Amino acid sequence: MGYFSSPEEVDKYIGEMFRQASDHPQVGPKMRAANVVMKVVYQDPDCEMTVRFADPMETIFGPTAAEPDITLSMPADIADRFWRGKYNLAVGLARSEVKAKGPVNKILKLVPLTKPLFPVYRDLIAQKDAEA
Amino acid sequence: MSDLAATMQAAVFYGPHDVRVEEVPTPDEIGPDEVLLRVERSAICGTDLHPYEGHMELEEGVILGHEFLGTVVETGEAVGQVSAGDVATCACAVSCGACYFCRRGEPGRCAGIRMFGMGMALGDLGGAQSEYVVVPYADRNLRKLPSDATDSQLDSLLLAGDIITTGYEAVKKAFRPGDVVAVVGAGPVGLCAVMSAAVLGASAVVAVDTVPERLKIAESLGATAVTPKEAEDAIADLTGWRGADVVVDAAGHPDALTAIAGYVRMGGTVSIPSVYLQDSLELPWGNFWLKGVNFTMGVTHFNNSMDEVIALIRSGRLDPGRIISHRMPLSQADEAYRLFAAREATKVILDPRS
Repeated sequence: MGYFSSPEEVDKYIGEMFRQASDHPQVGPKMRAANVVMKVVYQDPDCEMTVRFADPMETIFGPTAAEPDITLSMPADIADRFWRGKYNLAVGLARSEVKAKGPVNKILKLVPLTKPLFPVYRDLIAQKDAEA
Repeated sequence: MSDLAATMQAAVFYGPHDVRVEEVPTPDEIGPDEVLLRVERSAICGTDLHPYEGHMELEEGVILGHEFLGTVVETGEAVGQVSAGDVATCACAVSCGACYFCRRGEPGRCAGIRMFGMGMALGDLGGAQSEYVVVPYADRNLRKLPSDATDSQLDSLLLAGDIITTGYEAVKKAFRPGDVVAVVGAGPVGLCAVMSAAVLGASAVVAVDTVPERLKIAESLGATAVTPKEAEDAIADLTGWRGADVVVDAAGHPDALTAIAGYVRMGGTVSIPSVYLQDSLELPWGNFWLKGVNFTMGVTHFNNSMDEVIALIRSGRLDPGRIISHRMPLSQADEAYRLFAAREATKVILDPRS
């Protein structure tokens, strides 16, 4: 089994990180100004999440009518490794482990904003890791 | 790598107009297909100015620099094309060689393209405005340089990983011998396009810029050098009012693209090596459509053209090193960026050894 035992855990950790990102002093304002809707489709466990990078920022877990500008698809385990700062997205794209569609320039704008969120994610999973 | 110092000097990005030279950890491991290079000289490129001027998002703490040459210190066990002690230059945007696009001979579209010193969005590779740099997919992206290359040739060969190959390919992919080529923007890439057009066999080259010093260099390379105000008439005079066969946009500004509609001939080609990151642009689309203009653009296929460029430099037919205006120690990178951004320097080389 992968790192997340259920779709709800994906929301509990990754979804919660996006919810907290809105108030992050370094990247929150940039994310709220991005005006991009991103959908991420996860496998194992299968689920999807849509993040509206707007003001207010919104994270929707599960199907939604919101039309995404960018769609990413990846195994949830790879998402976990990415948010821990241990996965290179470019290498993942080259290996087709991660797939992306939508305007490349919008993706390029969002990726650099993720790094300051790594510590937020690590804090969120700290207890789950300790219990493993 | 145990005999290397634990830290090295590097130019580190902290935000727009904020580049600091700091001690950072020296890379201490390489993968099987990677090479550790001791950087001998490294350039500041126009692409570095996108984050420096705040036009491109880049996270704090990134070591900048993607145009460089150096000496191989150590190779991974799968590397066969270079050995310790070899001098080599490298494609600034490295391609994997294995993906759909690489297999089709389009390495500039590599699904996992990675660029040194451009942060997580472009593969999280440490930059080469530093004492050491790790090169991935090294057999594919590094080029061993001849041991008898002169110092002046090394200046030119340093640029083979980026601007001269960018300028060369921008002309070559749109071009037939005898064509009239207009180059808009006589910065480093534009000047490289000017000299490439001449080598490839252009019947005439027109360089368009507003900076007198840049126009002087373009003129010394054999181009008719004009301001934007003079350009349309100058091109019309040279072509019997037909227009340029090829127009290279090396300015990277929407105003340039608008002006280009007046420079290019019916059925001509606009080649755009410049970087555009805007969501949308307003362009004279009716004029382009009625002229039946072809567009070609995007990241240069460095691995497809570097060997030609290196051979032309070795033969003395291309000499991009002549546009280098400043040499500065790496420790003065902040001032070097300021000069380059202010267009007070045409091309700056940073020396990590001094």
